[in-house]
Amino acid sequence: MENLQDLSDKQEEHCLECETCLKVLQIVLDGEASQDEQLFVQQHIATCEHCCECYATDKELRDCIKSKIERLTVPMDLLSNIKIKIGVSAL
Amino acid sequence: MNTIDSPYTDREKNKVFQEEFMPLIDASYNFAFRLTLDEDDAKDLVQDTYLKAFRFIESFQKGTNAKAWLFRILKNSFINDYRKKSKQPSKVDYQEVEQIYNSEDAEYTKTTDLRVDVLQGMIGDEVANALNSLAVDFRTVIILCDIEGFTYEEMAKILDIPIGTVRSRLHRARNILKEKLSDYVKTVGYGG
Repeated sequence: MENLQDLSDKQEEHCLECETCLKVLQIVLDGEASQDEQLFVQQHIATCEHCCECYATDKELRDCIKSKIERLTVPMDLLSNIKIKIGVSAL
Repeated sequence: MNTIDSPYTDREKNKVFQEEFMPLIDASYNFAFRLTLDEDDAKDLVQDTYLKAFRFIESFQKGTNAKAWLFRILKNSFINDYRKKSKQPSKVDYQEVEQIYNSEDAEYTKTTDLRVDVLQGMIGDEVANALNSLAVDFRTVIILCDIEGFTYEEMAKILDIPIGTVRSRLHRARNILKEKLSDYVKTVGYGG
């Protein structure tokens, strides 16, 4: 019984850690986390395969958005229209 | 009665506009396009934004974040002038958005089956289509954070919302985006 209780406690602790990790993951990846939060996530993902995968996927999603979405070229007439409307010849 | 002197002479006004704001035209146009999803509307929105920025440039304090200041004007112009007449039909009912916000706590532990290798194999159009299909409030936070690199604090100022709301909206937006990409992958049978 004791062993089962210990196991149950450990699982609960693990789940709570995962829950906290998934909450903090975003702010770590966005560069908004404190040192303690960064350390917590680093230590947790080193031992939790599920959260490690979530971390990798979320990081890749950010990289995908940043690198794969095409930047449009500003239309030639936009700049000149703004200059004309503002009437600033120096621009 | 105090009188507030203009911080800029006409010459300085032009100089600030040229040095601080004109280099941001590329970022502004891309932000405007991601909001309106229409090149003509994006052009009009950027033009209106720059005219307003020039008119109100005296309220811009030198040394502060010009990009955040300009994007705030652009976002407000979009809400006031373009959102109502947008050619893009609203994807999500606003009430639905609010309900989603209210149930955000449950979202933190939600994960999709999207894998890193599948994301790596995606082309830009697939990612852009999924992003464009998000409700504009969700799309906006992802653009500002992931594409334009604003901090939560800057985003809060641009969007006039608390930092906590920035964080939760961003989290929800990414979850919806992951769900959309995951559904797309299932449809086309990506990666096996």
